[in-house]
Amino acid sequence: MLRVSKLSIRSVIKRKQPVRGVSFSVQKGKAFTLVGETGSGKTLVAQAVCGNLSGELTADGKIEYKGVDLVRLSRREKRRLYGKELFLLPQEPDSALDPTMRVISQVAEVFRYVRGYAVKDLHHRLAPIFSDLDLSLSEAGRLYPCQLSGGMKQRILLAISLAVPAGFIVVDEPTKGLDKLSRTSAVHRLSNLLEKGKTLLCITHDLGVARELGGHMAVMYDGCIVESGSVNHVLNSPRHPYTRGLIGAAPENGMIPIDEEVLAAMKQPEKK
Amino acid sequence: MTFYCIRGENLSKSYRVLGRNNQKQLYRDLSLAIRPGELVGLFGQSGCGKSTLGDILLGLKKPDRGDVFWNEINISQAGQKKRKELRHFYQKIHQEPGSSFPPQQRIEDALHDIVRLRQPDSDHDSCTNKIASTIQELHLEKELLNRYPDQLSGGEIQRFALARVLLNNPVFLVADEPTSRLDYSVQAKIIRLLMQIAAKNKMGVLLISHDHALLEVACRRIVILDQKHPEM
Amino acid sequence: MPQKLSDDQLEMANVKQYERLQRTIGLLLVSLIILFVVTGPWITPDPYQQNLSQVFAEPGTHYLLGADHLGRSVAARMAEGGRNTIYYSLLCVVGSVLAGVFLGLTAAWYGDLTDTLIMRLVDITMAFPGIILALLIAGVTGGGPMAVIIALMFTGWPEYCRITRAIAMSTISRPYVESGILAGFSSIFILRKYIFAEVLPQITVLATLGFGRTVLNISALGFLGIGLAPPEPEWGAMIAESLPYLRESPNLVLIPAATLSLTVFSFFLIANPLSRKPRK
Repeated sequence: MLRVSKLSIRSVIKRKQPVRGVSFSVQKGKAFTLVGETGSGKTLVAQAVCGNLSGELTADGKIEYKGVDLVRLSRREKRRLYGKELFLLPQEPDSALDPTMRVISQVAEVFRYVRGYAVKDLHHRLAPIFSDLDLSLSEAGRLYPCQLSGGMKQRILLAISLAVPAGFIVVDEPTKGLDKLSRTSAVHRLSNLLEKGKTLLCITHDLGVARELGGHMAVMYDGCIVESGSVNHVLNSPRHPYTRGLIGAAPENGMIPIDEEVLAAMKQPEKK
Repeated sequence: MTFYCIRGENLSKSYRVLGRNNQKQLYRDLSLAIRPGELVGLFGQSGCGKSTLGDILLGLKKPDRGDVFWNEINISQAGQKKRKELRHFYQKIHQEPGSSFPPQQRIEDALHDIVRLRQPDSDHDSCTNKIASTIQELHLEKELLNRYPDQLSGGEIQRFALARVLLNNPVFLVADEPTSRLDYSVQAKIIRLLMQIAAKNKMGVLLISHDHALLEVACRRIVILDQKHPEM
Repeated sequence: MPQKLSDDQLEMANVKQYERLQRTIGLLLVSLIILFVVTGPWITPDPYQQNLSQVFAEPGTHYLLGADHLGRSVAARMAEGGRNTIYYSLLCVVGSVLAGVFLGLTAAWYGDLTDTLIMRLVDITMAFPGIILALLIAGVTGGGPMAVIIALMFTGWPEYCRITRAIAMSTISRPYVESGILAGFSSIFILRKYIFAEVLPQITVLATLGFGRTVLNISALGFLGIGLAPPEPEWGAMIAESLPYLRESPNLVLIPAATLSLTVFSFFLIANPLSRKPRK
């Protein structure tokens, strides 16, 4: 469904290449998880897929989505594709919600304009969507974004994502800063999306998320993919020392810091 | 009798729920004591008052009832002077990386301010040396000192926050979710450092987290805050 | 390695260039005006010298900018008047900024009752129309520049106070202020190093804008006859004096009015890019 080949991202100002030659492909109806630390370039890959790289960055290579190359897309074509077929659940839900509007009006607005629901039956159309996400329309809906917890804000965005018929959803760090309970339910909701036939590209530092979503995964470090394959394969018999280190660093596995030598060996020389 | 660097006795705290006219009890008659060099975990779901308990122990918030003892001195009864004297021995690390540093100051200047506050008569070179030896302990490079807080990665800035705290020679530290916004690999590094430093400097630490697995690795004793029944 | 710039980058570069141009023009205009005003006494004749044979002289002949209804050099009076206007505006702005920032910081830091008292004072002051107040003070004290300065300071400080308090409050709630308190820094230190540093850039912008406005206000008061006593020149008063002769020699009104507008405009030009400048 989505094939990324030899994707490199270059920074014009700093003369750096934060992403170098990344290739992977996402199968329809499955999840693909990109795991890596902060600064590994995983978020940049997601931004390149969603076409919102910041101005100073340029992408090379190919990102094919249903035969269309997303790297070389005009603004007009972008507008037709994004938000309708591709949807991004951002890392900071705050940035995507209007702080001055009650959440119910924000969700309703999208359903009205994208789906064309009439104002009078918005309420009973939205009620099941909200209750599916363990939110109450009459209570949580009346609040403003600043009154919600991080997990709730994310669920509101999920509700909005259901308005668009997007088949492909990019999720950036769905578990960052959430406590254990909300983390479990956040991952659970992502699996629900998979069951509904959506395709997921999930960006995370949490290997547990990859395990629960299944499908395929890739481990990134310093702009390159160090290991990729099916989730079971990578997590149960990791070949690369970095992947092993990452698994060991999780609190459940003893929280052992990754060996500095392994990291040093992988760091690529700075490009002049 | 064992010496505790910090002790809370029969602490109760409630807060008023907005909009409704009732009080919500966070905990009642909670007692807690931490020895020098000991890491104690504080576990609970969000909104159960973990951070508030930390703030009460640090004297930033007042409990409804109960007493806090710093070095066995009751701080609500101690005079202004005594409190001021002990103040800097009780420190805190925040959840949001970088939030302990003012954004318009270079890291080095912020650390210099701390050293000069502790030792007003020290000259510039001895300040620099003191900072250099502290950050070396935390495996930080000197070049990073020249940067502003937003030019550092989350792991680096949290280690600088730890350095900032250490320059105050603390006997007790509240680490309020210090790694929940960081990657697991960075988290492992920082928690290990925290464990080493606590043991070496004989510093008591209250490690607040919602990750039970993390606390099990890092702490020997874990306090679980339940909304209704705080248990030890 | 040459790089092709994307649309966004070009847009960003354009905005930056435009703002730089704005600031340069503003600074250039302001320095020209100040230069003229400061060097006035040397390059123009005595502003009080009446020469009744040169009444309403055209610009360029005997006088650089012509002469007014009493045969006084307009150029000289513009320089002298500008010096008065700018000097008094500066006093007003500095005075209100100092008072506003001090009270704003006090309100934010101590909170509770202090905060309530100061903010109610702000409300009361803001409800008072400045020009009427100036008329009142002038009536009581018998006019003069002091009345104008006191009146404008009195109406000017609440704005700075409110902005300072708002920025200070949001800064105080930030963890690094708490860290500063835990480290044992004094209140003065925290206010100066952490909070004032956040307040300063915003206040600079406001003060620049406020300066332009104060020039306008002083001239408005001069036009109404409050402020400097004739024959002491002042831009607003000059407009008022020359109004009866608008038909015969419009220059007399146009010159001070245009200079006044230009001064205010150039201060806005400087302040505009400042207000949008991101940190670092």
